[in-house]
Amino acid sequence: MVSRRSFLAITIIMVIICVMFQYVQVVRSSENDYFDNPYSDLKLPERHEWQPIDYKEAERTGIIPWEDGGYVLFIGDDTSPIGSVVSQWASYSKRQMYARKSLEGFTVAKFKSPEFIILDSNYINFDKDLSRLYDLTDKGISIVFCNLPSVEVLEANDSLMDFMGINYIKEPSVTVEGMKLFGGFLLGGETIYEPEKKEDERRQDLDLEVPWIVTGGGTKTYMVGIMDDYYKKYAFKNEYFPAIIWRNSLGNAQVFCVCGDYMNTTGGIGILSAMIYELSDYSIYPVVNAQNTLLVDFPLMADENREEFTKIYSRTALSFQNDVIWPTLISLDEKYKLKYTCFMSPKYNYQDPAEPGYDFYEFYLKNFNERGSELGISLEHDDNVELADKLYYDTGYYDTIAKRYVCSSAFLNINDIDKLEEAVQNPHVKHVKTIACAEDINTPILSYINDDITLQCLTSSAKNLTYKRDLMLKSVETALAYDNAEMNFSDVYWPSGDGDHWENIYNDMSSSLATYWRPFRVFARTSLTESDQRVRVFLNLGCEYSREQNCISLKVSGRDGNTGYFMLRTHGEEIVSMSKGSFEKIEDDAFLITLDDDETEIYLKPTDTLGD
Amino acid sequence: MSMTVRTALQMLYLIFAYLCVTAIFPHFVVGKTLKLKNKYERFLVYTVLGNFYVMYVVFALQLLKISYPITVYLFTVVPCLLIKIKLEKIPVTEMFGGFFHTIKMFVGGQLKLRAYRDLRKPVWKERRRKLGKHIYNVYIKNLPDAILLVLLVVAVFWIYGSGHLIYFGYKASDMIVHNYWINNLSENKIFFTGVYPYGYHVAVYFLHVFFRIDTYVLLRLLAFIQPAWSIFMMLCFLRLLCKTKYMPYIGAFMYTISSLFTVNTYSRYSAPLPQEYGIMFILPAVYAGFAFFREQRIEKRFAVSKRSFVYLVVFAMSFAMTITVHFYGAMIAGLYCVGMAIAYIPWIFRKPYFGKVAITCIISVFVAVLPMGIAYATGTPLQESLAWGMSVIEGDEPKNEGEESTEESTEEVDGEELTEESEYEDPELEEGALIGRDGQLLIHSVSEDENADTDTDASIDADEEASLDSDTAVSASSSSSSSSSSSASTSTSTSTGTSTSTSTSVDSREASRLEEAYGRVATRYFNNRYGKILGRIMYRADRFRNHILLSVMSDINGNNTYVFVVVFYTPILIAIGLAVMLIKKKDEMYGGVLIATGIIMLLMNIVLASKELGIPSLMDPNRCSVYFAYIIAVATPLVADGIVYLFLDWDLKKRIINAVSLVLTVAFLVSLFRYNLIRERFNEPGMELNESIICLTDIIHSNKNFTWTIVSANDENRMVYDKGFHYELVNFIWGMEHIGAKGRVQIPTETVFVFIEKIPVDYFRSYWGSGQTISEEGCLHRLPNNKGLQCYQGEHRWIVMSRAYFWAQKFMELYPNEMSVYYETDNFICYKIKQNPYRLFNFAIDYDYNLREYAKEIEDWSEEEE
Repeated sequence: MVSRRSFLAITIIMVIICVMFQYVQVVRSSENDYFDNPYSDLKLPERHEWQPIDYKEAERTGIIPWEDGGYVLFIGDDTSPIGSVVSQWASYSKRQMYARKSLEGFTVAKFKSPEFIILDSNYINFDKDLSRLYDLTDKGISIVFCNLPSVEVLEANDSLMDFMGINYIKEPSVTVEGMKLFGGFLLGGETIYEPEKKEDERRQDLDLEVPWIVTGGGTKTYMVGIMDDYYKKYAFKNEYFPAIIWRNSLGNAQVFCVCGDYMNTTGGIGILSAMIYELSDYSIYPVVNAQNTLLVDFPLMADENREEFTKIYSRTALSFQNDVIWPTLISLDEKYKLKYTCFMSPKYNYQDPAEPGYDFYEFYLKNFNERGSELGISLEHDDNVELADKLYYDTGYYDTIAKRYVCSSAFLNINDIDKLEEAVQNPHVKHVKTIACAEDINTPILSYINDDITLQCLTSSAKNLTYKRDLMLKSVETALAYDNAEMNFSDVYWPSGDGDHWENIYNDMSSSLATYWRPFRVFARTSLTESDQRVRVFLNLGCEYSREQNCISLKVSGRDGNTGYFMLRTHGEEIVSMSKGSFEKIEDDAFLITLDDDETEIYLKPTDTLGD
Repeated sequence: MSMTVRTALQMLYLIFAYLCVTAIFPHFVVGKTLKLKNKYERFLVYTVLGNFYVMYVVFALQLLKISYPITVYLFTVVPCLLIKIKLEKIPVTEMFGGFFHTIKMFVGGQLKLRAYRDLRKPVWKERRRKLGKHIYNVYIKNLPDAILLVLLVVAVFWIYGSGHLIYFGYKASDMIVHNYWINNLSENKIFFTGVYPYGYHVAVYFLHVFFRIDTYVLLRLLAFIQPAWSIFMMLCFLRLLCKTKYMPYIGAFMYTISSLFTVNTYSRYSAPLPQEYGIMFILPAVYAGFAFFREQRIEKRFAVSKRSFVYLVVFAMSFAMTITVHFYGAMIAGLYCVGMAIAYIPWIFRKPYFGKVAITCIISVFVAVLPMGIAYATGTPLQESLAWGMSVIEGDEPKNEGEESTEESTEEVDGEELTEESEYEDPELEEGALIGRDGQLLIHSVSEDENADTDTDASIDADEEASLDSDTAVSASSSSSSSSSSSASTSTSTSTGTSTSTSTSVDSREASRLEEAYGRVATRYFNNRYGKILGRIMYRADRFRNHILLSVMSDINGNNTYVFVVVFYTPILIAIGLAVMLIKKKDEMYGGVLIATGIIMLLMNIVLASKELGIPSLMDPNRCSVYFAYIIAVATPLVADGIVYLFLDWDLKKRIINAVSLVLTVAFLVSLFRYNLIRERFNEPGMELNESIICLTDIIHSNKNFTWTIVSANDENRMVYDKGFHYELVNFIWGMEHIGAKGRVQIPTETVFVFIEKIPVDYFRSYWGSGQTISEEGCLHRLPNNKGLQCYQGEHRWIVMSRAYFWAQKFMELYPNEMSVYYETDNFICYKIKQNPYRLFNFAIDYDYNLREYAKEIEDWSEEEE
């Protein structure tokens, strides 16, 4: 028998426990306004991005607007993929660019000395231009070959081979087993792009057919093709592996060579940033410092594909989304400190009879709010419907539920980029300030669509991060400290094979987060609107810097009272202290600088001298 | 931390480590059971026991090929504990039971810390009281003794130790070889280059493994420990044998600070060479012999008592170590034993003595030779320097030892094979040749005969009588200059290239002519017949003084006649010894000590003058002079002690005799200062620049092991063992000679350091441009392609360093971000190159000079042809 006294004690304890647990929930519900989008109130800087000088105008007038070393010369077509990459990189690194289609007619005396020259080999006549190139390197001007001429052209011209630091070409073409990117060039350290397991083979999308170029003395190689079998068979030394990206020193100038199409993608901007870093004793440039994780078509509000879903998961799409997908996403969020931007889709496939429901809307808003995630609008849709129709169908849904929550971000299908102007007329989309869409070489990663809306292109994918995309991730992180990673859930709801099953996608996502994103944990995790604010600041920023002994002075313009971010890369030096700002070490010789002032002084200390 | 502070701390730790081996550990093990006479005897015996133990533990482990840090610890500590338990009959079970009981009580809360402290308080109090009493008795009561001891320690540190705080490099040619041999012990490769007395090497290896001191640090700083312990052994020896209390300090101070000896008798102490390490075991062996006779005589029994047995064991160990460390030490100990046998001739052939002594000698030789014998029996050939020693004994014209120390070694650096052929010694230098950085020989060779003779001839030819005086003067000045500052004689020897140490016999015809010349002077005062004899004697005496004694004893302010005093030690000691034996029956054994010392003095004179006497030479005279000086320092206080004891001990109390000895000791010290007979401390630069050692030490401490390579000229080669890798600078430069960037020079480590001397040191050889900085002119010369050290000597070093510097400048232009200046002074620069270990840099580049046609040389040749 329980005594009355014990019974009373037990009752009191139970009440206390009940109150303790419930109280938290009650207070949280009453204090939070889940229908308020905290990111929509972010103060966004006005548009006045840093503008390069219009070199075409300068070419017409004949007035050279820059000083010696004040511009980058690009020889090639500025509308080609390489030209687009170079143009983007010049803009992001706040450099003036002068593009010409030929080296002929270019003289330093006339056009002043460029900081360095970027070449598209297709626009170079090596028989004529090589002596010009030698003259330029003699003047200490470094050169970047964004691609190589054919092996025949190289082999026929020993002088060109010497110029590029090629000792000899062992084979015109060889199939390598993978690629090895050495540390210290792009951020993220050494990476081997060679599948170890069978399931990793689908990641391999790099071009493995390369000419076997063996570099000579005075060169430094940044990326090579791996030939392990050859190595084992003939005890071949690493130094003879085919060079992919390398540098040759010619007096005070350096000649960088890229073998392959690595400069034809957006990833080229990071390679150029890394080359600039290699050219000097330090390198400082503005960056975005934003890492976005976009969950596209999540949550889906209609119970689509019911039959197939029940067959695969023994439950409906909505219940699977609530009970399985969201908890696993929360676990990833907690483990990797992610910040999701979830692009809600009332319906994806408009041929499916299921209608969007309202039951879970508030549930997700609560969850997103509590976890700091942002809710955006997904403008993505199945191929069987046009964007305008989708918006039309969805209007009724949004009218019902989204009266108070203002979505400031949206995800757009890259094919619909032209229809964006029309889309933003929709009352539910008109508050959107930034749009995310898939990457396209002719579309800058970060840009303004109009005066109000920015465009942030995807830079990586959590679902299937292929080697090429990982290289691009590293490259963009190096150039911009920026990542816009997408996880598209439409494939989960409408799977086309086993690879689209949630467990496989989750494994992919989890392993990618644990490995490929790991080196970039220093960078801030942001929602898309937060990222938008940083992007606008970044685009506006201009900077000047100089160095006197161990002190780097940095002057910033266009910050407008916002926080600016910069990347500092050194060679064997560490930051000791800095005024008016803070810094964090990303990896050896790489630092992220946070600046809340227009001027700062950064003090460095060499690590490669005795006693340090 | 500055290198000086670091070195001082390392030195302190090394002193502690060596004290552990030679005092603390032996005292812990046998301190309670071994009843010894006093603290001097304890220290002497402990030094022998400690060294013997560690040497033979390592020998055993090496021969069994199981010498690793863990086994060294295990086989050092466990047998010690077992011996202690056995000797002291420690009830281990009860002891552990009590210990665990105490722990149990602590854990159970029955015993609190405070209660335990109260419980132990009386024990600790008693211990404190005993310690205080001991300190009072030993130091306060014997204040003069304590003061003299402290002064001696300070003097030893000042003379032999302080220089190591200023100059950090190796100071002898063959330290690299010894370093190499010791390194091989880490790989269980004893007798790597052949059978050789490895006692010194295993002792250093033990210190390296047991106390975790880097070998290169040991080989720098043991140079202080070795003379210190040799002097302490001498002090202990004399304190145990002398009848007076303070007279031993005369010997110790004489050997430590006086400039009465020539530089070559102690300059070898600037580096820790095996021969000098062996010196510390000579006197313990001799003392053990004396002590055995003393004890046996006292016991007057025919059965070996425990005490005399202990001395026999100590003798065996000590004598074995003289053989194990360096044969020369064994020869001197053997000669002393011969003296002892002669002195104790009335007893030695008696049954109880002879058998034990003979068996002990056989055992000691057997024990010493055993490890070498095992190695030899298992197919290891003799090391080549043994042949050199044998050739000296056999009287052959010895080849220079350096020529035989040629070695060919192959190192593998992370898959990269670096083949180097190094003659670790200059063929023109003797083993242990000590040369200052300016190329001056610190060790003055005995054989200045030829020069002296030439001088003598010239003088006599000019004017016989005057020439005899001038001959004396010239010879004296030659010797004195060699003793006080070696520069004059050295520059002659180096410039003429005659630095060999063996004396050449004077042509007999020339000798006769000189004898006649002396005879003609003598006949002016004596008749013709006696004049000729006297002339011959004078000539021989003069030669003996000028060429034999003056190689050991220095002149005093230009006066070198006093050196004959040393010759009279023998008759004086023998006379006093005989007198003591006859008059003071109770101290007949002391008389034997004096006689034995007199005889060893005579024998040392004979050995030193063996070439002059035409008898087979036991050892190289240059080496002999080192031991002779040591024996003179032993004999001098014994002479004084014998005289004081013989003449004053009749009526005076011991306290008065001690007072007299104190006065004499103080007077001796005062005279040394008064007449400026204090030697200069060892303060010669090493063969490496300080900057090299500073960089090396920093590299070792601030980089992960085996991630770096040092490219330098030779000396760091063995120092970096078990820490990193080394690449020969000359091979490095040769790798791109004539072919430039088409060559391939790769070093498979992440970091590469390049040491370049801006002002190249004169590595054992000076040249016309000594002291000049590296320059383009140096680059215009053809790169030396000599094997071994020759490419780093004289002008060659300047060329190699000049080339290396201009290579570095060019490489830095090509790799500005990957190469940085790690350390730079006016004399030296160290570059650091960081490379990707998976895609190595090709260090072979075209730096202009490697592809030139050597215009300057061609020009020189054409000039010569013209």
